[in-house]
Amino acid sequence: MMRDRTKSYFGNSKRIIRGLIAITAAFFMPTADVVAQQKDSIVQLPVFELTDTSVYRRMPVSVINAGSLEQIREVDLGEILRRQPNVSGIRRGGYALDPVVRGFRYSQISVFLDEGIHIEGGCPNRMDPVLAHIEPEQVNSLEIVKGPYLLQYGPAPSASIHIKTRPDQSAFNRGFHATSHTGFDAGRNGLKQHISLLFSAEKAFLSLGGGIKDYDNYTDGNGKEWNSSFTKKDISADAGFKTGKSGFLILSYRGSFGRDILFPALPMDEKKGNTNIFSGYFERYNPANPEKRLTLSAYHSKVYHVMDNSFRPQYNEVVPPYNGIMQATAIADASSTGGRFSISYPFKNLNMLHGIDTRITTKDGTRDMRMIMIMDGQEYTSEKKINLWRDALIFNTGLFTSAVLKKGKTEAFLAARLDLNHAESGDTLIVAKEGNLWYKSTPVNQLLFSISGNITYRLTKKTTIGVGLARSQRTGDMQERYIKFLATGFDRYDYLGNPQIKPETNHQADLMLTYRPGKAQLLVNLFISRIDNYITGILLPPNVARPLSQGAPGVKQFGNIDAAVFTGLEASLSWIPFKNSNIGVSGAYTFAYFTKAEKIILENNQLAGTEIIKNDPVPEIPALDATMIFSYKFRKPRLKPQLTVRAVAAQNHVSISYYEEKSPGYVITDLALIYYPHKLVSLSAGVSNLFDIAYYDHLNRRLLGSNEKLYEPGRSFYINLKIKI
Amino acid sequence: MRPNYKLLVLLLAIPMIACTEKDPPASENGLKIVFNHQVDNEPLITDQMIYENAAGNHYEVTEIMYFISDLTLYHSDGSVIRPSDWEDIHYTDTNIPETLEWLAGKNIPAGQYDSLTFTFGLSEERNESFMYVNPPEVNMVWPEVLGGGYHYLMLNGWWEDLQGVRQPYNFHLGIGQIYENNSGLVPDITGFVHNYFTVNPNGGPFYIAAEGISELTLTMHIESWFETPFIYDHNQWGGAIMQIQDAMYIGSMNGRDAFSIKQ
Repeated sequence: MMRDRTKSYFGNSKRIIRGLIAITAAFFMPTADVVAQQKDSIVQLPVFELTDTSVYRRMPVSVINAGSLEQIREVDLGEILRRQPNVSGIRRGGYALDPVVRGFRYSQISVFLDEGIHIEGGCPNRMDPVLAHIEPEQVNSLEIVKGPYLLQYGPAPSASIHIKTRPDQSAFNRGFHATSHTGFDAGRNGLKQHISLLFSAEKAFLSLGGGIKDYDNYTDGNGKEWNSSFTKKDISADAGFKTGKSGFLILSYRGSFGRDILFPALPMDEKKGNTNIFSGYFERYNPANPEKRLTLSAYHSKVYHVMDNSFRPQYNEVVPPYNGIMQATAIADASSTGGRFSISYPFKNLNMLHGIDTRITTKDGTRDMRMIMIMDGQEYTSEKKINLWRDALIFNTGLFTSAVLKKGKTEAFLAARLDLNHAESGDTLIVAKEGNLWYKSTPVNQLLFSISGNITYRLTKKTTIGVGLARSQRTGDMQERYIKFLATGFDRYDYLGNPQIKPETNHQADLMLTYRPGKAQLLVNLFISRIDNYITGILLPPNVARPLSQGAPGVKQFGNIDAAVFTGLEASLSWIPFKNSNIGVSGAYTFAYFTKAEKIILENNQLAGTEIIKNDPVPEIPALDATMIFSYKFRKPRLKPQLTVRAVAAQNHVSISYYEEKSPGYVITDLALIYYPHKLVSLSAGVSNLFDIAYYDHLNRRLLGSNEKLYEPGRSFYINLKIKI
Repeated sequence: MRPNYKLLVLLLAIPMIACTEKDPPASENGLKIVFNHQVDNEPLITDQMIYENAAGNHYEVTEIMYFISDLTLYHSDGSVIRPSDWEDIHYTDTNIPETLEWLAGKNIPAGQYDSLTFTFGLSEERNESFMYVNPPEVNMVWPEVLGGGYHYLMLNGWWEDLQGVRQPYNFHLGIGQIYENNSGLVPDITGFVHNYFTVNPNGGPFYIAAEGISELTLTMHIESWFETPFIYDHNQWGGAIMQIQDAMYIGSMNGRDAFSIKQ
């Protein structure tokens, strides 16, 4: 019996052995991270830059600095993050990849700017995940915390992505600076240009920035062109003022404006996306004791999103098997407003931090559907307008506290937060059938408690071991509570929210090992996470709800299922084999399953039965992947060639209950050259997907209306120029 | 004390060997309805001008599409069963073989059933516009200005008119309209008529077994749409009737005895 069950996973014992070898190999794969710690800017490796301070050794975190972002082809933060170990992305088009960290996604990841600025994306199809509202040129650094450890900036369900965009104190007293970033991607005829200016004096500074990106469709390795073009513009402004000798105030604005962004895997495309973020940050510190600080911040972010199917043939003509013209438009308004107050101070051996934060998220949206048909020689138009959200509101207020202990060979960190979450909506929709109430919006209050702790112990001069334990909760988001009959981008189904959904609770443990023998560094991080009341879609009978989106085979309603278990590892090793060279390899794997899942067996779209699956794989988990980077820096001329090989295994561990399909593996090679002709100028050029491999990632969505996966771009030459004066 | 991290590694690794299992399905029964279409008790032959209706029209049938809903079973013990807990509207299309079978319900009380009934088309409360957005059902849409919702029936074909010319007919049933002065003009619509009706097919009793899928054949007798209680004459009503309530009324009356069941 056991053998049979194992076979269903791996096929046969040889495959088990191969799998184990692969996992073991990933443990010992070297990485490029360590090199980035060196001060010399030439040796910074794009994207794989890890800041390994003592703080970050205590928790599983990766940091990407702005210098890395300037040298690569990618212009989308979601796509950039995908190159981090155990960070993947869901591709629905040529832009706005939705990040997946250790298999966690959407609201399981807390994505925020600076001191807790949150953005509520407007699109119900997730065309605009939070990262899509920020341009790489606006970013100072990105921190990815792989676990529910960062509790000081709002609930952190299963991972956090902290995007730092605000200038820090160093912006004062820097005089005048101007920076220009120019880039061209030949693979999609894409041009980007961004300019930023900084004027600063002793007591004030003003920073202004703006840019444009205009990209055509990309072509995959088979030569097929995908409708994936987009245009984006961004502007930003920061004004800083010193308030006395030990305080400063920074007022900031970020704007991002997308037009005609195409998503071949979704039923509509983004016609217009306007994002405006206003924020203010005040900090007061004790000059004699900088760890004694008070911070106060507030923000308002607003997203206006319009999408329709006007780029699709069925908008203007009859496309069989339809016998009418089908037009659809959706408009959404979303906002997030909040504030945060914190004080920090040293207390004996501890560094203490306490604070309160609050966030009000609102969302409102409508969808307009039109069907134009010719019958008996006459043209008839049928039209229907429905609410996607109606005055939906989520109000979250939290108290947080944390303490850091450094004593001898031990460093420890403890954080906790308590949140009161209130949700309500102006919906009048009631879905009831034969005594069962499926949807009715009533106000809900929920209390959430989260706690995390990390401890690091230096075993030897070269070896450190760390353990992290955390429990974190999150409530249902706007989609999960209040969306009404729209394909949310999870799969092809229409989704119905669930105002009564229970909070999801993550219990996580991490084991971190660091080993630094001479010119190498080995990092290994094992993790396990159990999510109780896991929020996912559950198929509704058609006699309860029918889909309203073309191509949607049915309606799923968000609900809680017993539990999901996520476990896996990241491992990286970096090695300097000889002077001026570096070899780095990293690998990551996540294994996730539902403890119990119900499979609905459909025949001809009719219910033929149900089946209970135990330990069913969670769908859309990234496959085992490994990356190797080799680079060498020349001193004269200041030049660094770099070769990157990324290998991703086939994903055969797929969900039975979700009818998920397996994906093949792939190997991609990139070549880059970074050249510094002058101290003010840097030039990076390269070719991505050198061998023009036709491939798709397991998380890539299908082309709408077909079983064909959205392929990744083929070979592409690019060049980036940065001038800084 | 040195931490026992080998034990920690082991504890973290244990969940990675969890194996997928399927619970054996519980035994259950079900009712499958097989749709059959006949003319004069012979299987329908499409696209041949070989039939003659009670009005003397020579006609042929190209295709038939229709909805049935609200299936109800009447057990011999007196209980009334609504078996369709998953989908209680079924679309049948002679062009799509998969629609000619309907797994109407599962876990139905076993035993002898005296009869069944269903709604032909969609009741007023069920007939919502944009209820279907995907083919083939979406192509049954009934124009919003003519009452909205969906066609109950599309019976399409050809007949020979009085001059012997082959003419197309669209014998369509749906929501009818009442026009001021019988103008037939959309701006003159003053009300709507829901033409759905309940069918109690001839035949029966039938049995549903305690285990396995029991099959029942539901036959549409196409000629019956054009006779009893009213003779329907294509030459009188023409090829398109979706704006002629009197013609649709005849269809809705004639259709009540157009079905039979057989096990």
